[in-house]
Parts: sequence; C-alpha cells; structure tokens
Amino acid sequence: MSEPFQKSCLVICDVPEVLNRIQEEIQPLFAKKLILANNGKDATKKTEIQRFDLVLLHTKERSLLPDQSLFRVTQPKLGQEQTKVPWIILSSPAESPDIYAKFQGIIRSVDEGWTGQSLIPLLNNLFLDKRAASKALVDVNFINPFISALVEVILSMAEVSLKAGKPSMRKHTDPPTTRGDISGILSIQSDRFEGSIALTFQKQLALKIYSSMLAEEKETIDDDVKDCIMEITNIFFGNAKRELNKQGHSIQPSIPSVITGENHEVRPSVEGVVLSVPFGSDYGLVNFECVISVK
Amino acid sequence: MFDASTKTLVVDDFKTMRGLVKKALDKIGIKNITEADDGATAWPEVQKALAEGAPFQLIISDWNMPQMKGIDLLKKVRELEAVKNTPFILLTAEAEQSNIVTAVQAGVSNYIIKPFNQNTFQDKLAQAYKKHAGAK
Repeated sequence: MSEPFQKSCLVICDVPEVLNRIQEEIQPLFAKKLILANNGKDATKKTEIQRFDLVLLHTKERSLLPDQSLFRVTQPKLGQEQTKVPWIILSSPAESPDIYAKFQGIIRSVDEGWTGQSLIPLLNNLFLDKRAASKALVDVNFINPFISALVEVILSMAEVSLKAGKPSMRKHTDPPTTRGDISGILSIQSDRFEGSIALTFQKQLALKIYSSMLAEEKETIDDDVKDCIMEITNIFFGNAKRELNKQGHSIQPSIPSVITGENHEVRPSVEGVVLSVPFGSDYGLVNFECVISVK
Repeated sequence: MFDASTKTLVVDDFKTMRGLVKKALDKIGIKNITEADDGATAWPEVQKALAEGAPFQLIISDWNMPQMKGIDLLKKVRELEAVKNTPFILLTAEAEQSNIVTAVQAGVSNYIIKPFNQNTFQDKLAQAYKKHAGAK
C-alpha cells in the first residue's frame, strides 16, 4: 500500500456494522485517527471545532444530505474551489440523483460493496495531483494481475514459460526501455483513468507462439502471426481485466490492434506514468507496457 | 455425444482462435465445420443452413466481436423456433460474473473461458450435449 493520507476525516455513520467495516477498512488508509459521529447534531458540533479534509457518510438521516444544514457547515464558502470539502457517500446515489447532479465534484458515491482497497483510487483522485495520482494507482495490486495473466496465457496457449523481470516506471516523455518486432496494443478505459497497453514481442518468440498454437511453422511475421498476437493480447487483457475489476476498477472491454516493424518502439498514447515489465523466455523477450492517466 | 457428422459453426473475429477451436474439434472427431468471422456473418450462415434443411447442430462463438457480439447471435438463434435448441457455446476471455449471468439468461448452453485446454474444451462440449439431450 502507498503512504497513509495525512488528512482529517469525519465519519458520520449510524449503522454499527458499517462503522466496524469503516474502522477496519478505511482507518488504515489514514495517518490520523478518523473522527466519528453517529448523528447530524454530533457531526455539526465537531465541524464547529475542527476543519476536515473529507466527510464519509453512511446514514439514512435525510438532514445530512448535501442540500441540508450539515453539508452547508462543511462548505462555508461554497463556490470558492479551495474551501470545498469533499464528501463520499458509502452507498448508491439512487435515492437522490438530483442532489448528486447538483453537487457534482464535491459529493461522490461508491457502491455498497466498497472496500478500503477499492477506495484508494478515489482518495488519490481527491488528495493527489494528477501525476501523483496516476503513479499511486500503479501499485503492486494493479501490476500483479497483468503479470499473472501474461505468464498464464502464454504458458497455457503456447507452452512457453515466461519469467518476469523487474517492473519499472518512467514518465511518458522518457524514451522507451525496450524494443521489439511485433506489438499487440489496446486502449484501457475506466471511469477513473484512461491509457493504453502494449505487448511488444521479439520476432522469434512471436513465431514460436504461433507455431506452438497452430502447429504450423512460420519464418516471417505475416498476417497469420499478426492475428495470433492480437488474439493473445485480447485474451491476456480479458484475464487481467477480470482480476482488476474484482478489485473495484471498472475497466471496459477493448478491441486490440497490432503494429509490426523490425526493432520498433511503442509511444505512450496519453500523458502519464508508464509501467514497464520485461519477460524473458527461451525464445526471446516480450515487454509489457501500460500508460495510465487519471481523468 | 457430438460425432464426426455434427454440423458445427465456429465464430470468432480472430482466425487464430477459429484455428484453435477447429484443432480442438478435430481431436474429438468433429470435421464438418463452417467458419464465420463475426456474429453478423454467422447469422446468414445459420439461416442458409436452415433453408437447406441441414441446420447447424453445434455453434461455438466468441463473445467480443466488432459488429455483432456472440451474445447477440445467441439471442437471435434462441428466438428462431427451428434452431432455438441448438447447443450454443460462448468463448470469452473475460468471464465476469455479470457477463455469465447475461449469457445464462439468454440461454447459453455453456461457456468456455480463454485460454482453455483440450480437456476443458471436451468437458464443456459434453456438458452442453447432455443439457440439450436431456431437454429433447
């Protein structure tokens, strides 16, 4: 996990079991102790003596909703960007869509199935600048599904063992660390970030994958090999996406494309952080790259 | 179980995956195979086979295709009385819970998560066969 947030957070919750969950899941994300309130009156008192960086709410009490008194207390100079205190509602906005629309940007909601882990990207968005948030998103929980998916897909479909090298990160403006002969490319989109993914293979490895899968030898990268690498990219992405979406991301499906060219490099599609993981095999290298930019 | 004469339609926008499915079918003796590269090109094949009096007895389709997705092809097949009980298997690389629920509701016979091996492929086909044999 990244460093805990040095922020003060007011929790308003009148459901004991949800409060326990908040303390177990969310408290570890913050360096400071969460301030708890179990009703609107209690919460209002606390806002009178302390300034909060965030309000977390799970309650049925209508008076706490954003057009009511407590919300106004936490937004003393509504309209001046620097004074707005964000609210996160730990339940669906279905009951009051008009309020959510009116206070877009200040009030956010998460599904009932939230976890501490699933809230991290949202908290990063609130508290970090865009580049820091992009960098924070690409942690071990984000990387591992891609590494596992690639190793498993290549082993299962082509009977080739890959060994992951050390992951590295760089700015999108820095030169690529690896080159290859054929790349499968996909866009990656969620409600919180956008970017692209590339799997760049050396020729011998791509040809080996093709011959293992289709029982047909090739000496050059032709349309059949391109199709094969696109499908590998497609399956790899589908498998990684399934695991990432279990963590609370909402990554959309995407159709892959392919580029070829001896010793080419793939340029990042957006400005952000580029994650790179090289993989070795008996037949050459494949490099995974992912560039992410939070929205 | 399905045999050499089973008339089969394999639908995938990637030639590689069609090749892999054909290879897996070949290993269990199924050789009467027609290929289509999208749901949109598969549907006329389904109608044509029906018009010729020899409808497909097994359809294996990818889920995510550019023009007509596998789930939409499945829905069309299930709406057509003469072929609505045809065993229909969806291939997917995603297999998220919501997708599986959607496929089951649309009447899928079984689904195969990519990547797959020969044993899984055969098991899934056998399950689909049993399901439809039981329904007859």
